[in-house]
Amino acid sequence: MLKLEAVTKSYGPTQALGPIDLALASGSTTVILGPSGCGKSTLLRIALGLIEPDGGKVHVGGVELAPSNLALIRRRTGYVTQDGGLFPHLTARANTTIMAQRSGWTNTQIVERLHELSSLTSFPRPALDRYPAELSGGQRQRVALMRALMLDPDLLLLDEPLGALDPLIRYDLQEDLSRIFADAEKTVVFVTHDLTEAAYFADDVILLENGLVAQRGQFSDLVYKPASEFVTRFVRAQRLSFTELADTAEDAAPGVTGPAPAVGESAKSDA
Amino acid sequence: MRRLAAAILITTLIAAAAHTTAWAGGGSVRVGSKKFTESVILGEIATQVANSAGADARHSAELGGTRLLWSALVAGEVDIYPEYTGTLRYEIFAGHDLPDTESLARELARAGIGMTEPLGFNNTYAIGMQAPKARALGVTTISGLAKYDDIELAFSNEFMDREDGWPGLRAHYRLPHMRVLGIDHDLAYRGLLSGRLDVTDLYATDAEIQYYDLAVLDDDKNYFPEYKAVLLYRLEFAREAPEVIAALERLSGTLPDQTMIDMNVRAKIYHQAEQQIAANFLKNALGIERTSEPEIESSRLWSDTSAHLQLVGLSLAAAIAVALPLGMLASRRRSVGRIILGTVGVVQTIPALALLVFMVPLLGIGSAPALTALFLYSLLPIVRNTYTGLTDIAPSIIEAADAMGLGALDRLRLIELPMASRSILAGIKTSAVINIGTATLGALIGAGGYGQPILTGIRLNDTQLILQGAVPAALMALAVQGLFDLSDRFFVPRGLRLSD
Repeated sequence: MLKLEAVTKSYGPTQALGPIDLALASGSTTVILGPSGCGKSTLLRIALGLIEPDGGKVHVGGVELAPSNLALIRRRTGYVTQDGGLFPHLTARANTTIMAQRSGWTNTQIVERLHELSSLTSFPRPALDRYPAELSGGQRQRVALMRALMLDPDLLLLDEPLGALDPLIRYDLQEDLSRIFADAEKTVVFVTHDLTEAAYFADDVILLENGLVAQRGQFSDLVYKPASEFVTRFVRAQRLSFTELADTAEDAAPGVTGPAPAVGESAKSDA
Repeated sequence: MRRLAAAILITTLIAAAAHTTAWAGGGSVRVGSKKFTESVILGEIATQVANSAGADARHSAELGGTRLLWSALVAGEVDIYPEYTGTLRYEIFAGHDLPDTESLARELARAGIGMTEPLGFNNTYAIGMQAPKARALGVTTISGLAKYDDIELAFSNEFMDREDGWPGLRAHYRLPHMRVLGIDHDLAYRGLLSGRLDVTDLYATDAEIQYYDLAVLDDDKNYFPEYKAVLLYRLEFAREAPEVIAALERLSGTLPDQTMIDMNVRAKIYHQAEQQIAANFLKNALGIERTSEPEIESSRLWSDTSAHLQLVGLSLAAAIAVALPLGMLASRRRSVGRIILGTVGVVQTIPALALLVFMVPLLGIGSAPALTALFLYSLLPIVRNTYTGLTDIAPSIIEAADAMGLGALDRLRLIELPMASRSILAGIKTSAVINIGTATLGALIGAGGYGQPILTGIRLNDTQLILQGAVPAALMALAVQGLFDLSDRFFVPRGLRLSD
């Protein structure tokens, strides 16, 4: 579905990405993991043609990305960023349906799809006519998600979509997302720096280090068969912090550990 | 966006309609006059004489200063205007040596201009001082001023700059005064009366000399040259209408000093209408009966309002049509943006009066140069606010629009312009309010509007008349401001107003 061949990108003297080769199968869910500045957001932007790579080729759905087919490919791709990128002057409804309207959908089609999506993303229907400023952070991300899914894209690119949310809302949305990802038709790329999220979603995890693939495999491979010292350190750093977090949280208020147990569970099940 | 476009279109149509109604009519002979009373009376006399000779003459009164009238005459925008020989020699032809009437007439002819015989009086410059102060200090001559270097001197702006004005006077009399104010001639009298000023320049036939009890200081070293009043006309016009010129020549020598002073007193002190004063004079001196009807006062507020609205509306509509695309262009490319913003910024620094005078040779007098000047002044706030509004949009919003596959034009129309609408509207509002104020200057080049009563009021020292222009202008500014505040609800999407 998404294929990168020898893609490189640098900003001035710093090499941001690559050379990187990557192939993601249709219907797969892939988590791209890594610390800040490792090139994971750049990778998504290159896949959408928002950034032009210095070298290499990008194929989406078997078609090479080119200025002539960019608009079409973007319409077949959903994209959600950390801050949602909602248009503040449009209601949730208008934000979600703007492209459907431009694509010649009938009103009935639009309303049907909108209701379908609001159920799928647990977004309350009465809030559809509110503006982004009138919505909570979690609701805004659900609108961003609805907008990305509106045209029923084959490819879904999510750039830390839960990054700005507080733990409880994050937990709810994770569950909704995993339901959406279960749709076998969709190819999902989920970018995060958070190991827990990677563990929660991934059948396939790619850990980036300085724009290069440090390791690709199942989550358990990263934990138990680290490919390099960097992978070990990255996993250990986050696991340590989770353990500490879980310990203190249990002392203070049991149950507010958020997604922390998920790490243990998937680690165990994978093992 | 569609609403904004519709609003611009409607504004343009209304303004265009106002334009055609306000500027219908006008005579085939155009007489001009400067913005002081004596010139207006002489212009009125010339107009009535031309009418008596069978011409259809129209007087464009109080058109500003010498430069403006001269440019308008040379450009063929006016056919006749009253001027002074001294002004011709020392200002218009400064640097040329023109000792006698023949050489002056030759120089004029070279510019395509003719001159009548002198009308009679010599309105030379004089230096005046409040009589009690002059008595107290014992000053009777201009030389006498040299002893008092701490007195307040204020001269009309024209006098400050002229070859035969303050610089020459100062050198001729070796006056020590360093601090000299430039001030409007009519305001100088008020300054003298209030005691803030001690000395100013006067004209020898000024009505105020008697009225304000001023002492005219003796020109004991014969500095000031002759300022005989004449009528200037275009030679081409003289060929077309020799009978009008012949009628104007009948005025030569009919206006001695005291007659002119009396007429000035009647206009400035007793507020008689210039048309009436001119008609009385012509009846007594030449036996000419008045043919034209006096202007009806009640329609004046309406015609001023319509002219003012038209100036502001048309210039603003044109500015919006040009400034919006310029602002969009500036926001797209940094290098182009710098050039655009720099250029409209420089335009803004040109003083309004200078810009108006500069426009006359290109666009003549009347509403065209005024509209152009107002249009130019309206650009900066709109361009800058459009630019700022568009560049202030968070990059993540732009990226989101791109990532959806929205085309560049759709992105601009559906996302960027609505998000910048508040800033753009604020720019348009700023331009409109500034324009209403600046448009009062349009009266100086014959564009009419609320500036007309203000100009006449200043000239006649008539506060009520000044307020007749100033108050409606202020009310119009307030009304426009209120309208724009209301239109915020209409143009600015609700989602953007939620943060209030």
